[in-house]
Amino acid sequence: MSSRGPRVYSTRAIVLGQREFVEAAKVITILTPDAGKQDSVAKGILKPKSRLAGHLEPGTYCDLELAVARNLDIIREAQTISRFRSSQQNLMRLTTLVYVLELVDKYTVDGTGSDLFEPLLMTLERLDRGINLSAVVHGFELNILEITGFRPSLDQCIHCLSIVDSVQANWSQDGGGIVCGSCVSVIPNTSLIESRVLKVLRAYQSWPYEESARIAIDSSLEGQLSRVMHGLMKAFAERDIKSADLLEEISWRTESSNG
Amino acid sequence: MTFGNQGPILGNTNPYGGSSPINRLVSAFHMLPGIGPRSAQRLAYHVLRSPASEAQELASALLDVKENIILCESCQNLAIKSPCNLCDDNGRSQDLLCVVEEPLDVVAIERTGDFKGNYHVLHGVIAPRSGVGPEDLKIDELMKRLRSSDDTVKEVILATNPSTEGEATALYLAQLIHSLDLKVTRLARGLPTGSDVEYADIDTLGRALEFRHEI
Repeated sequence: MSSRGPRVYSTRAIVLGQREFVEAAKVITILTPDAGKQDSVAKGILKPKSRLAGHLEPGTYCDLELAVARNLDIIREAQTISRFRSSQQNLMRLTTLVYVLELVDKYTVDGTGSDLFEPLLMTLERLDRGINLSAVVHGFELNILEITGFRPSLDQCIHCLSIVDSVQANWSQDGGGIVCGSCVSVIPNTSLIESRVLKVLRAYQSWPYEESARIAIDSSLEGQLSRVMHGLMKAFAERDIKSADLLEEISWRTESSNG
Repeated sequence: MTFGNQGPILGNTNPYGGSSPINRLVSAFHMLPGIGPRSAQRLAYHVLRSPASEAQELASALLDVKENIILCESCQNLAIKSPCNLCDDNGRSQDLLCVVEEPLDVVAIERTGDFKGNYHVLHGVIAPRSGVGPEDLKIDELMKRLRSSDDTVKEVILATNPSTEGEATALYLAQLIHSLDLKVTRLARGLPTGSDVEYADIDTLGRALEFRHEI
């Protein structure tokens, strides 16, 4: 009998993704409140009578029982707590769900990200309610940047740290914040950021969700917010975030079809 | 593709050396989906014990499939000619089009014997985590096919898997196809035969209740 601790443990988890593994097994990437992101194995999940299959789809919030193994822990039991069904039935919300999962996946490595569990769970619940997607998504993007140490500077110039008025602000995606008029010549690749975009981002960053969700966002403003935030998320992740492009395409198409 | 340079699949106990023909064959089998190192070893030793004619038949079948299988220009399914036998079959209903993820899904639906319409194979689903976007699938071909069908297609059945990625792909396609004023349907969802209600996930059980039918 080993004295190295329990061989079986239970945890709540949010499924971030799946990938094919050997035989009928899959590797399931989960985010847990204690261990953060981890890969685990679901044996036999591809078999028609698998008791795990329906409980381990990406975006599922579930209770898991895992057995400690030498490499990847093995999922013995899974029970769905919520599948966020409303989000699963709406293209915009489902793509947004896929986007937030991809963000968590890209901004964490194995064994990190436990402090993202509650914000992610709250975001999935809000997404499921479908009220003010803009505040939900951009609030989560700013939250993830804050937790992972990339908090964008939306009040102070990233170079001289002076307070910048929202009317005259320049934006540096690579620098991660705004640049004052005096410093714009020394920071490469800046562009003007519209006053109302900056004001909304400041609100999303500092107000509680209940208040920021009351801000009315029209489609043109949302388009600009998405472009700024997607650019920032890709720049800090230092790799492409494919679902961000898909989200923009779907928003654009939905907007066009609504005239 | 260099099977022989994948490292010693047989581990440190490999008595044949990293690039021996046996290890190369094990590595080649190991590259196949769902084949782990032990299964790869079993298959390799089976080939080794088999008569040379069987090994030749296997090698010839592998080459044959790579050289002679093409994509049907209409349904995008794997075929030996284009249009394929299914698309060429005048007995099939032209007003039903079933959109599936993979060629094997066509085989599965054909096995039921309940569907007599045509197919369109996407060759995947939208899976941003794996870097697969709509542009990587046969979606443009599907839309071209529907636009040029002169109203013969009346209903498009979206038969992607009931997974998160399959649902996202179905919703994405539904939005595109609705703009053509066509009826779009989705495969029903419920409990598989032989399963346990007790162990069903809440999504499946919820949908099974939602789409219950009178008997």
